[in-house]
Amino acid sequence: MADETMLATSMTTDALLDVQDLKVYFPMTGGLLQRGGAVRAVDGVNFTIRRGETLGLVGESGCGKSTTGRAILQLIPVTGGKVIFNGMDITKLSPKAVRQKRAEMQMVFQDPFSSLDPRYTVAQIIGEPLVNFKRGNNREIDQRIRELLSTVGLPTNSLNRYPHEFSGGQRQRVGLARALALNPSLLIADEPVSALDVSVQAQVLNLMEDLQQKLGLAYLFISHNLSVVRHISQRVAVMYLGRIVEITASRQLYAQPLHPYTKALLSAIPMPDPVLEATRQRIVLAGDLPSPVAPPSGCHFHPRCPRAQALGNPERCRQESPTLTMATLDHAVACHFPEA
Amino acid sequence: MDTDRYLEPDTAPTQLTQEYLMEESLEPGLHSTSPWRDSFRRFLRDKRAVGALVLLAIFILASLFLLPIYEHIGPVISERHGFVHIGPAKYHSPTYVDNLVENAPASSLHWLGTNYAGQDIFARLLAGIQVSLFVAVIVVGVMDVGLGIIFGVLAGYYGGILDTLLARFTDLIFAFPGLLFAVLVTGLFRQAALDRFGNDGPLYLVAITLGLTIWPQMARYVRGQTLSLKEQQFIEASRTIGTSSNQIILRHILPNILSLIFVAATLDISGTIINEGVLSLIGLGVQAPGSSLGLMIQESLANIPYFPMEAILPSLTLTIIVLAFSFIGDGLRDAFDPRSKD
Amino acid sequence: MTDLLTVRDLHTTFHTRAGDVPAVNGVSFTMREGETLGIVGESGSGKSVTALSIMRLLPTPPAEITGQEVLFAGQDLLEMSQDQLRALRGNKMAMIFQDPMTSLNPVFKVGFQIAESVRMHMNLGPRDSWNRAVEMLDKVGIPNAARRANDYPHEFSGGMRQRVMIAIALSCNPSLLIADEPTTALDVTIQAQILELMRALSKEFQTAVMLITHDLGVIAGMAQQVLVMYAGRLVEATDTRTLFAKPAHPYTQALLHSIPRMDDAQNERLQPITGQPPDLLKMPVGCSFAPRCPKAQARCQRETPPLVEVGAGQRAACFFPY
Repeated sequence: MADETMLATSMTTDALLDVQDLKVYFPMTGGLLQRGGAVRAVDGVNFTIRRGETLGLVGESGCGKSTTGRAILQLIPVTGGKVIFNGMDITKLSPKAVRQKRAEMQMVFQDPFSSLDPRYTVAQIIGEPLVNFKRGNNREIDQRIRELLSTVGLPTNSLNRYPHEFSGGQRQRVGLARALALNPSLLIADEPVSALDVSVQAQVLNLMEDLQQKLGLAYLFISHNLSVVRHISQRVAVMYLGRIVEITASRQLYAQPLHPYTKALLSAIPMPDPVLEATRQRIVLAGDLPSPVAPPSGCHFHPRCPRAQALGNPERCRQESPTLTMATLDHAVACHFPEA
Repeated sequence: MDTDRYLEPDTAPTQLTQEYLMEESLEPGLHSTSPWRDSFRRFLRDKRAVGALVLLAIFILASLFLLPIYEHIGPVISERHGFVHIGPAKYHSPTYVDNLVENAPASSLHWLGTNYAGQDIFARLLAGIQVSLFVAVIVVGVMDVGLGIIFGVLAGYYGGILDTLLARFTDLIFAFPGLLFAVLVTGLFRQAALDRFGNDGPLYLVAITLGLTIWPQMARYVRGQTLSLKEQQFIEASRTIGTSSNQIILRHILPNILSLIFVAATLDISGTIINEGVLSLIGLGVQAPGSSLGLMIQESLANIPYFPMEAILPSLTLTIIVLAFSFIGDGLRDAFDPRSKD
Repeated sequence: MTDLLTVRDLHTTFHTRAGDVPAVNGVSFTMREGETLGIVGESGSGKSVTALSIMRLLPTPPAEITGQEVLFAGQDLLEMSQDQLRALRGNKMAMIFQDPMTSLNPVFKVGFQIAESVRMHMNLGPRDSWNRAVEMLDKVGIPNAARRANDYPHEFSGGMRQRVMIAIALSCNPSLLIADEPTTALDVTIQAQILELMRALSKEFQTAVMLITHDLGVIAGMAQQVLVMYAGRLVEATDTRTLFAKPAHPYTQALLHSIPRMDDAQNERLQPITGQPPDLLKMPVGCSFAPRCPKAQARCQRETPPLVEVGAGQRAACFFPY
């Protein structure tokens, strides 16, 4: 585990969030008598986020990326590990203290339709955190709401309107304004643009970049869309079945992926370029994503891994779970046989 | 094979249509309307439901205000060879028994005639409506909605032991036909209720018993709605911005399920009024000479061939009230959820 | 190659309480045999409704489909009775949908569902149609096809179910396959598998594919011809290479600029399209893209630009193309 601590400490200089060996298991209760195993949704995840930085977290469905985001906010119980935010392990805090801490860490949700209460006006939605944390009297709160509206680029006549009167992109702006109300230093964005039309995605992505510049926010940007993650993140972590398999600077990851899964993932993205598409070598992975209920032994990726197949399915891949190891400075990979 | 999905109302193309229906109220620059007001507007467009509401309002107002007025209309008359003088306060009282005017036809004195015991039918109808509505308010308004919301929301939101208890209790109630349970309990405790609370005693007993049998269904319904609402992201969002669980229940869950409870409660009222009628009909409800629509039907049965109106009038009244509540319930459902129609 | 499908001036309107929604507004195009045609557009652009109108799968009312003609293999689909259409659907033309979870009937075995379609359209006996089902499952890359044919849909993953849907669709050798966002609900690596499969099978079966998607990347890798739709209208139609190299319509240009790409300078700022797509209930007079168009001039607000030839094999509905 020495390498992992190295990875963690190498970046703690300015770390806002330090996630250490985070585990989230969901117990499988099929009844009172059957105490089976557990779904290891997040199984020992390590990363840090610096102030004002964006860490992208990519992976396919069921890889645990959303669960990781929720576990950091303590929205679901954490099975093990530490979430050190601003130098304090928040997994040990009382529920009340966690509520206070959440003011500094906020979340933006995927679904612009179900993330806003249909019976609330925009002013009530954005004002809710301000009322909860008693940030000023009515006039001050009203002032702050107007300020937030202009921050996210919504007209002030939106105040008394209801969510159903807005388009998806506008609703996402309302969600952002609500998340920003308490001046957080970390925003966890769970697929914030996935439900939006492409022409509107760019508006929201640009807004998020502007807000980061202006407010010094750090983002944990969770997405399955590698192009979007590449665009917005300084560093990227790739998850597969509850574990991080590769983490490095965004540029490095896309130019020189080391993990066979990352390589396959990158080659699977359809590119909006017919000339390139016609000539490109695709690595099409065989088989389905295994269920996180019964992940494969050893390296979770080994049954689908083209590298393991090329090497004649080494025993080690099936037996031993690879740890996240520094390959170069600030480039960690969890593979027994990484290939440059 | 796949053609079927497009013939169902809820599939893709109609969803597209629905989106535009939902955006009806979008008028840029105008003050926007709340979902409640939107629903109200849609309700007003439903002629059948509005008609039912008006009719019901007339019935309620009549039973509350016309009965006291009716008791002041009419001359003082002499009875029993002129020795006794009585006014309308007596002979228009729904409980006044006068064997000399049994089964009298409609007249200026008794607007709808009298029954086998010489009681004024019009007065008894008005009093019977009062009983039906009293039972509806106690059973549905207080017990069904009150207990249903409290237990349903708590079980749905927190789960755990409360949820298990609710599930077991509802299983128990479901395993036992509600009306049969009511018959048993009212039969057993009828005398005790009479002794303790007089002639109105059985009515309270009926109300409480019907309430006991009806609320677990509502609680289970509310629980289900709470569970599905809990999955909505705005509930999770509320947690991230520091809203406490109590506040989430009060400010987000309740307002969003209230409309559904409204609809369910209105439809429950119909069933409850019928059940009260049935209990009175088999003699377990209001005690004669008290009045109730069910009791009136029961009393008329022996004389149906000769005085059919004595059965038709209370039956018709009961039917109208029950239908009115059903129509209002249907109207509310369409108003709150425009997707259920079209 | 000969023309397989010719659509001329197709209109689909939904009559709703709030007003008439012109979901498809005067769409004309031609598809050749064996060709893959991509239809790209955002939600509400009318791309799915176009396909459903061609298949005549929309409930009427509320939908009303009109048009000059929709010629499929020489027959006008708009003139056909529902019986004639039923015989055609699933046989000569088939469709697959976005959601592989709800497209299959959960209570029947997968093999039975394929065989049923075969039996209906190809007049095969029970044994032969079952064998055909197994053969198709094998073709779409489902391992142990003979055994898996006896499984129920819930025993298949999302990607596998989409394979089954493709097997059903191709079981009768259709000449046209309409695929409505076939990979949108799937993960990236599974999407790659399905796209690869569709490429191979459309070649093997000589099936023309109408591929409806919002993903320009998928279009680039799959389609020979592309239609770009915006607010119910066709705004650009051309071959794929031209579309990406030299887009004519400002909407196409803006769309290409607004998506983050894997091969651009990483932190280059995206150029979003300002504003929102128009409300189809209140369509602006003139070009529907004009309110968001950087090049819009007075004329664009007055007149609706027709779809005209602007270059070799390139049509665009714009007064000021390129």
